[in-house]
Amino acid sequence: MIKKTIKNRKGISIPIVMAVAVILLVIGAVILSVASGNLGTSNQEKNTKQAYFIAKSSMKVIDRSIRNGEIGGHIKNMVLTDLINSGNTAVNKNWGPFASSAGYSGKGLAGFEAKDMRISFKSSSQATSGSGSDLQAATVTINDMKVSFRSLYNGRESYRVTATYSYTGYANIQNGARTWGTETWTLVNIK
Amino acid sequence: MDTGKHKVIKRISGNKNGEILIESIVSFIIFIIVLIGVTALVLSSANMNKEADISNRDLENEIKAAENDTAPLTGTGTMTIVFDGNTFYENINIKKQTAITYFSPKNDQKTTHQLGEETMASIAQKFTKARAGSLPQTDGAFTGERIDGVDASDPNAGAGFAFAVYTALTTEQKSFADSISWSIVNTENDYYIFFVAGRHYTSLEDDSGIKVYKYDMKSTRYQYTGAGSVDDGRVSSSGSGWSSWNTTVLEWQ
Repeated sequence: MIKKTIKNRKGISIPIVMAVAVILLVIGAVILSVASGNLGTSNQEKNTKQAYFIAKSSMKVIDRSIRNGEIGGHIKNMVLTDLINSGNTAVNKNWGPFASSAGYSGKGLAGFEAKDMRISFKSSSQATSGSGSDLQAATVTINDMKVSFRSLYNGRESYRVTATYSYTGYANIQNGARTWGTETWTLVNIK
Repeated sequence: MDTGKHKVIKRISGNKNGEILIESIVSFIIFIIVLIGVTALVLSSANMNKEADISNRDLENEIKAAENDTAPLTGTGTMTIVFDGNTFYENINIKKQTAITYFSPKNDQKTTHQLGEETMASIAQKFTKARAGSLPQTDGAFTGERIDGVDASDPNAGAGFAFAVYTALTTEQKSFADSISWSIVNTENDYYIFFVAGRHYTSLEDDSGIKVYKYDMKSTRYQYTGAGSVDDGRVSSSGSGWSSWNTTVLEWQ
């Protein structure tokens, strides 16, 4: 009976074709999986680089705003106002960390984000003429000012950056108007 | 009558050659379908690999272009930084080759429109703090009827909240506020910023029948009337003849 069954070749072609089909499908699936992995890695690499350039670009803008713009102006005025309000001739103080944030608007900036932005610094201010509301001149020194944030692209790939600055400057005050001179912002390091 | 049909049926039913033919056809069809499927898989895999390869090569060029800042300018935008309760607006140039987008500070000056928008938004922000009692250099919360920007830059002018609001503005915003006349006035059961665009009146100047704008701090929109007035540098309006609400100020365009 067994011998007869083995010798009977009827219906054998379908199992053979099915077996070949399974082998071919497995090979195809493996090739597809590898190719898909390559493309995925390539896209992820691109997104990671995009997150890096968001961080780098943002840092450039912040750097300009600290050295020649509004953020730097605001920080040194915070320190000077604090000296005036204290009524003392010298004040040393640690500031922050201030929870800050950044946003982007413009064509092509969808998916750009900056999170966990922190700004902190140490200040040392010294009156050189007058004090309190009669302060006429003062030196302001800012040390260890850290600006840090995490850039994100499409809410996933991220890149963290921290920059450290220092500042020295001199302020003259006349009728409430402040004039700044002999001032230098220094980028100590960035990582 | 024997027609012989039963013999034909008997012969066909006993004939196994047809089964083999059907089996071969089914096997062939299955094989062709599988072959088409596998070919499609292999082709799409090849396509994906090619795409990944192009993408990697492009990415190298993109990174070089971005690092050397040689990608073409595709537009302009704004980076907004909020720090210590203040909002700083930085104009940026946006650049992109094909995949990587980056930006850099825009070195030119802000437009009058941008500065105007920023200054109004900033005054509104400081005023909200004043009403909440959290504006630096002020005692308690603001509950008065008006704050006048005239002489706000002078701490000795006794302007109080006006000086505190003005002091909290950024340098650019201060100089813009100096170039206009503004007052925050409680009318129609809400506070609005009234201002004369493009002219500053001193505390010694009066005027009437002039164009005065009203800025709604909630909707950030503007209305104007030709029946505005300035008394000792303080801006008011007759409350009539208002235009419809707009998102821009004509004089700042």
